[in-house]
Amino acid sequence: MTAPPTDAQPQKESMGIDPYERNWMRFSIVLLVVFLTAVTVAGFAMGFQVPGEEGRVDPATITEAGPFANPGVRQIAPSEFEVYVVSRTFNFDPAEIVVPQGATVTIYVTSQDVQHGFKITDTNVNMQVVPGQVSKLTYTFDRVGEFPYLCTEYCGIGHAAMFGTVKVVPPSEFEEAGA
Amino acid sequence: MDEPVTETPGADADGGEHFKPTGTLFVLAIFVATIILLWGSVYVILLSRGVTS
Amino acid sequence: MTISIERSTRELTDSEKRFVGWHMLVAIIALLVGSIFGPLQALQFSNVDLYQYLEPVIRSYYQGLTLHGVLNALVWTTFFIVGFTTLVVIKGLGRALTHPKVNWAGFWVMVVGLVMTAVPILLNQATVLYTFYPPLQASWAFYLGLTLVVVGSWISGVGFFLTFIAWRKDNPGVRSPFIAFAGVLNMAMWQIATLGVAVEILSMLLPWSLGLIEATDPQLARTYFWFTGHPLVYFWLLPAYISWYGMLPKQAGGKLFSDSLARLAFWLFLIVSIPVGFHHQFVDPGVPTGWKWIHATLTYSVFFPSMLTAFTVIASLEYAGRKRGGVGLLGWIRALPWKDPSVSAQLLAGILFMFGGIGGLTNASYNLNLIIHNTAWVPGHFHLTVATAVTLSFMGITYWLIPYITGKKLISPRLAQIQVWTWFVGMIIFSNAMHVLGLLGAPRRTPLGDAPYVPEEWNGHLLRTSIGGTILLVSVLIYGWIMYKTARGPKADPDDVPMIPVAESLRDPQLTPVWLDRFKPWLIAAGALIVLAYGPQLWDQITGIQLTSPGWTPW
Repeated sequence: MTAPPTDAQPQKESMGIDPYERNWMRFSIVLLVVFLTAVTVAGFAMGFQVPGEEGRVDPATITEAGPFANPGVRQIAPSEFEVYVVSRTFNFDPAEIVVPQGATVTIYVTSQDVQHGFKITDTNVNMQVVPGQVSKLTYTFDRVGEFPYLCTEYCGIGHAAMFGTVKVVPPSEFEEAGA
Repeated sequence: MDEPVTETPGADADGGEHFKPTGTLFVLAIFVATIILLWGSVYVILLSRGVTS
Repeated sequence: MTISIERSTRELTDSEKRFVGWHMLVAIIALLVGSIFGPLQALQFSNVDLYQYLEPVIRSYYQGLTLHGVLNALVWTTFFIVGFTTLVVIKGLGRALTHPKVNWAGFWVMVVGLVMTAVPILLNQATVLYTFYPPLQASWAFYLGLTLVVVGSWISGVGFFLTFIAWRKDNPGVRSPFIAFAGVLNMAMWQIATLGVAVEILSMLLPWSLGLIEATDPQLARTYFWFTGHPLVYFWLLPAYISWYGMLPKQAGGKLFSDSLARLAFWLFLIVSIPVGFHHQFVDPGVPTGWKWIHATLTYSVFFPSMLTAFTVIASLEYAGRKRGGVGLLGWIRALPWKDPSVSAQLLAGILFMFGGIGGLTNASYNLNLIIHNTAWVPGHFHLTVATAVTLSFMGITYWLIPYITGKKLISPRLAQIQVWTWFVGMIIFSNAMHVLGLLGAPRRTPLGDAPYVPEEWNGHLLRTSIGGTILLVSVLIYGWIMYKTARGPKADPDDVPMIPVAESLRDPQLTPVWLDRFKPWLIAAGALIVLAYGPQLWDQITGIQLTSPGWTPW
């Protein structure tokens, strides 16, 4: 049983913050602001952006009409491409994306069934694929090589086998292939 | 026993030692160095992997 | 004249101890069963298939993973937390629960929910992992079961709120005892947080799985889920913080460095744990980048109370270490009672949590998330946080709590010490390997032993994952053994039974400003922040709802 504070002897309430801890609090805030600034500059000024809202589709009809009805790579300008990828259990269509070195590729991905992931190894392309929604990112492939794109969201029993490959070839090779 | 309430850092309620958490600062300095190192290296990886827009 | 809060000397009654004990029993069994799948998964990475021994019940890696996630991340945690909160409320306030029947009802509803969830999982009708993202569709019983577990925790929460309110009435002007205040705050935060998943299940998934609605909107479901999903981790973490702030200093022979900052940290968690969910959705297609950035900023602000915690807890430990004779810049660390497995567990949990926190800050950093989203880095991260900071701390707590409620001695502090250190070592190996695998691009939730795209470069790390997972298996088996033998041991001499450690603060809590001991303003602030951070997007997503996804069961 405790007695409430009496009026005769008022208690002085205070935070009682140790000066070291006060400085730590200030420093923490500064650190977080610095990091957040670095992230914001990279994101909104330098172009390291995350996917945003891109559009809605009906998963039941995507392969019948619209851009996803013909999945694959299309060239739209000398070094510009777009590719529409359909994800389904358990493959990506197309399973292969061939582009020349230096190509700027806009990638649109959606799903015919459940959620999937679309992540191109060694790049910053990483998207959640949600049926009914279109995921989009644009990326420039500066290096020659093979870059697998893996399904990164559990989608069922065959999830571990679900992947495709981006093949970035020297420009001459791309021309020859007549792609 | 009347004791004026002061802002003395870490003073015991019964008027004990004044405790300066210097060891804490040392540990936290290591923590901060680690944060900057690890977070920074992931930031660098982001920048090295190319722009997405 | 300084007012001192009368230290609560009331112990739990036998029936209260039994009540807490039932929660712990369910929690620990869940942990033991759920943890079997961890090593199975880790060994699968090295192409060692132990799943064959669990057939015909366990039919896939994914079914095992669902059990692992649900039992470890949802059942072990929730039951432990409700039991632990019961103890800190009773002990902290020095009084019985005002309506024990309410809390008992909460427990039973949780148990019924648990069974209702477990059955479809075991029947392979809910192999949807603990996030159950639609359009994967589980049996309706899975969704209803989870709802009941949450509702049960709400009921228990009400029991705690009523008890706290009664204490308030009887103690006007007195600062609420820290451990009880923090326990009640955590349940209040949980009450608000679970609204998201409750709406997701009740308005979308349950009718859908019952066939009342033909299709659902998976993006909206994700938004509802992660409304709850992030504060969920603080629901887990805060009880560990209650121990670190309010009990560990006592165990270490010291005091809480700052009562006012301890409370401030908890209030900050109440207001900023929830309006941050989009940081789990940074690469979602249906959420605008602006809102993602706003949630990133809010997530950074919820990192702040953890930075505060780091200082206050470490300073409390330094105080204890110096009191025990430690000298110099670091001698106080060695002087801490490492021989007490309850203490060492929590110290080691704190050490690994530093890395978990750094990883979390990385995940929250907007575009940095592009590197690690849905990669093995993510389970690497959360095994440092929920599986170490939280779980290892909880294990450490049981090393005094189980003896306390049973009246028996901990069967072997030496063995407990081995358990704690093997967890620590195993986790370092496992978690580090998973972080590296993530940076190399390995996806999460995937039996990588089966994946055709695994390059040579990953093999060493996959092996390390298997080794770490095996060491963790040994640790958890030792833990189970200790718990079993302790609970079944002989009644101990009352002098040998540990007390509930309740830390005093360096400064009289009565001096802590009253605005740090009033729920109403903070609850209002929490609500306002949620409305601001979620309102517009929820409005957009709900009014723009498109029910285009039927259910799938591709397992």
